[in-house]
Amino acid sequence: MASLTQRIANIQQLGPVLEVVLAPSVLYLKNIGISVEDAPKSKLLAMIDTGATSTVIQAGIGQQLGINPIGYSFSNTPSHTKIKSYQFDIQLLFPNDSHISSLIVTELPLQGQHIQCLIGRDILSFAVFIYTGYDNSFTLSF
Amino acid sequence: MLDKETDFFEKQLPELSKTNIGKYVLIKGEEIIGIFIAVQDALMIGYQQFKKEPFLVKQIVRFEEPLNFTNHSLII
Repeated sequence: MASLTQRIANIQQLGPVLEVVLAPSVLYLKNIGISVEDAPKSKLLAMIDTGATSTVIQAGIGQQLGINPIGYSFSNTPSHTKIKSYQFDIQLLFPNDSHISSLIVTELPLQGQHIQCLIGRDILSFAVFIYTGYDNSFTLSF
Repeated sequence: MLDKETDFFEKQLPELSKTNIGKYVLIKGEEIIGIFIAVQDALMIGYQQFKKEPFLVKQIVRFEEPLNFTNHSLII
């Protein structure tokens, strides 16, 4: 089981954040004939969010990666219900070199903050997430 | 993007849901390319046949549960 622990300056203020890299899914790259090394990538700050049914990426990142949406979903947010948005097939690379080779994520606009990705309960469904508040750290294993 | 595929899927859903609940349909334009048990299989066939062209992969369900997000940084 791969495991990574991150220490945050003030985890109560910033939340359980980590830097991740997004790229088109391995399945896409293999069938298009692009090597993983040559694939477009996007490095961004993600927050682990137990309040998110599934993983979200900032609107526009799919286009940055040069991929088309493969589907759509409906979402409820604090201010709106049943918003229709695109879904993309991506791979997610973590700082400890572990990765999820294919993950369907939803694209939604994330405002202001530095966060461009919410890691949701789809990833947590096969992970162990330990939030150690007094130590300003968290551990994610999967 | 995917407007044609989405409209076609929504029209076909009553028929598709008679025998394919839980499976994934692959649609290009107004054509059903295949129905698959695993989403990865539908994506693989989509990429093999259509490369960088858009296509739709959608799970067949009678009622689509919305995804829920409590994070206030979502601006819609």
